[in-house]
Amino acid sequence: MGIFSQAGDFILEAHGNGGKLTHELIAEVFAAGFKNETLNEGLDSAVMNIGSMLESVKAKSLADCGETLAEARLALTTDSYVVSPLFFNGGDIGKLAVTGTLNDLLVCGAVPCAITCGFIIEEGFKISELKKIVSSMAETAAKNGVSIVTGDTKVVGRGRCDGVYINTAGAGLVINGADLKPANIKAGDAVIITGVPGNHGICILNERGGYVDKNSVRSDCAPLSKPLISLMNKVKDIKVMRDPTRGGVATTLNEFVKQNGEIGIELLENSIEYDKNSKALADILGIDLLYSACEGHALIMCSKESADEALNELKKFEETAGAKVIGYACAKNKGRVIIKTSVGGARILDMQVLEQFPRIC
Amino acid sequence: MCLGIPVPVTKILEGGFAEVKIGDTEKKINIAMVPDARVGDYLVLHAGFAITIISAEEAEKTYQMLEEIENGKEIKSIFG
Amino acid sequence: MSFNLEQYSKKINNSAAAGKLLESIFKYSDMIDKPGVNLMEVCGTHTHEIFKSGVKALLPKKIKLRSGPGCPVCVTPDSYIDGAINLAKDKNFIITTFGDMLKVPGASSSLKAEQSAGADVRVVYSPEESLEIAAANPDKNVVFLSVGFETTVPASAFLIKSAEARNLNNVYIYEANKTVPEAILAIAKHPAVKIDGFILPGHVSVIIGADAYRAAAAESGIPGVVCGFEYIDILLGINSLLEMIYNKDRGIRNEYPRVVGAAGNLTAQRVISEIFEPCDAEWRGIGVIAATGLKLREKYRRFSAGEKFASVITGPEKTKGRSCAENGCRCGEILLSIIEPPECPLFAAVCNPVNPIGPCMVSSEGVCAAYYKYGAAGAEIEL
Repeated sequence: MGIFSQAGDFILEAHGNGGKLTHELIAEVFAAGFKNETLNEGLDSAVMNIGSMLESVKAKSLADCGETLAEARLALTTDSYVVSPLFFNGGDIGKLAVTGTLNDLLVCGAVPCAITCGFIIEEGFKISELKKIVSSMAETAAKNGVSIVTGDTKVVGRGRCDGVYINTAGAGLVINGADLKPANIKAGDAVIITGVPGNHGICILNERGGYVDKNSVRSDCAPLSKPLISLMNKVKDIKVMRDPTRGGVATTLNEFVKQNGEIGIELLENSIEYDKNSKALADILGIDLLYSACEGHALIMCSKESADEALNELKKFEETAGAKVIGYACAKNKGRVIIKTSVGGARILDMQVLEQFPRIC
Repeated sequence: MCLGIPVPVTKILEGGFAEVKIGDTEKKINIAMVPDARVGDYLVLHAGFAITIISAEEAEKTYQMLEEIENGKEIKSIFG
Repeated sequence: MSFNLEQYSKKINNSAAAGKLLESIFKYSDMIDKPGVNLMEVCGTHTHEIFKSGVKALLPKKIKLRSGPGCPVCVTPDSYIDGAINLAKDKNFIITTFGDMLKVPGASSSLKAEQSAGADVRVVYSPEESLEIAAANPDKNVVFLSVGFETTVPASAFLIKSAEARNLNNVYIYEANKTVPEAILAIAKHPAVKIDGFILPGHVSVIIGADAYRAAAAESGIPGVVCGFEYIDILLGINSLLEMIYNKDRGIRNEYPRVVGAAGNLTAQRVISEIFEPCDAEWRGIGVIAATGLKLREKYRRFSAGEKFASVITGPEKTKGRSCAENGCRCGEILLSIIEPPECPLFAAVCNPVNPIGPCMVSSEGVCAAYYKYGAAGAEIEL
């Protein structure tokens, strides 16, 4: 560290005041970690040439985002990350921040191009921990062909935030022809999930509660760049996609039916698979994994006819090898999500209202 | 009244505890209420305690009864 | 013969047998000479599982499932919650509790609200976790909120025994445990309640045994069936109960023998009576039912938070605010199945999981919570 760091490994309030310590922090932690030219310019904004972005996407043969600037559409997303604990089995707040931002762009049919990140750090937080988080972000971003191009740092007093909070924004270019929204869904459309639901939520619950060995339940935190871009290129009538984060699969599907208004969704209990350890723990605690967050999977709705093609494409990729159809949109039960149970009955799967606590009796 | 999931005993420990398998992982639970539990027994778990050992004989009777019901035999209570 | 989990999962999931059981249920339903048949699900978990399994949607309309007071959090009186809140507010205490209790509204606050304001309230999966917390915090008093029926009582009993064995002098329980059989009799004899048969709790029965209900059944003339939680168990149970009602049989049947015995778990019963003795208990909305509470025996009275910290529990002044009944909550009638949640004017409109007025909406075993979650405020499912 530079000559002004008197307090060793700890973030001081002065690191957030814009002066020498701030610049030292940016240089030694953020710039060093994120390593890119735009960031290194040190301007108040990252200035990017949209034409170049378009060319870059084309050059990587990722997707067709339009031939001309007039055709190009920008996707912009923002998110904040306040997960506790900061480090968990399968990831950390940094990996989560980049993943979530990428997935938010991808599910809108956009190729991610750039990410920003703002840090709010608690006084006393260890700089060595911050470096781990930054490194994790840089690695996730690099693997997915994006850079963190600008950022911000604030420091708040001890006890004022849980270690570190991260806010991000993501920019991407929308694939030509993609117009994904819940209004597109028609009765008969298939509901595909790209893997087993609920692992992230139950992992975090276990990290906090220590119910079983932390290595046995793992967050599914993972960006879906390759599978979703390939899918969008291959299958032209994807209706809508969303990553079921807070509130899980049940809440996201409820959002679809409410935003659409003309259809209901029927899930088939027998077709939904779960990770063995996640399910075992969930059963002990009385948790329904359909309400538990996923941070590495997407819900995809497409026409029934395209479902097989979509599954074939998704199964080519490790992240989405477990993709399957778990239900269909229907004309009945408009505005509701129903789950057909093993006995042949059904129950309503309503939107999540509360966080789930372990039950007793 | 909590949902009890059958969990198998993998190890008997000292002091009235045992290790059971939850998914692929072990957890230490209190077996003071089922002191006769042996490795391989399946227990019903509630709030960190085993409340009973699942009876394999009774389970078998239940399966048989369900098969008979499925095959159209007159429905009788398991209670008999 | 050893139990095989894979075989169990396959055999228990028998939808063909379920179909036949449903036919039989429809047959009995037609044959029973009444316009409606009221079956009480005593246990909150049964209410939830009947919804969750989808069985509710398949039963004949004539069979009316009425929910009973089998939710220990729901039947805990307001004054207990306020007492727990007063303990939580005091910096000398760490409160340990099952998760359900956290959001139950007291007169003017809840444990969750106090936790957010800085009180040391910790959710535990097992009461035993209180021991480590006490050992790690010798300058604080750790109070476990001992709420639950007979399935959970042994856990509190073992907590006391361990605290004694380890010489921990800062562990306490705030007693609120209740027992079921006498309560069932009280409901059966209640003038406003018209139940034709009881679906008896599955795991309480593991502890007390199926025979524990015989006296109540004989005295009231109302039959009961001990029932498990898989969809097939629920259908077996309801079918058996309808058969008994049709044949005017006044007994008790055990349709969950793989787990419940006639006599119950004697080791558990012994430890309960070693540490606790019966007392009268107040059931929210119902009133005092004799011999349905449990208090620490004289020998263990020193572990009672209710006695030792009575002044903290009462609080410095009368707690301001209104009881939930004063706010229009009708949990009392709901717990007796006099009305069902959609008949309460507050249901869904004012009282919902985000803004619960009473405990039946808060507790994960609560009947209002079940109706809200699975009934989506009155919607019917088109099958």
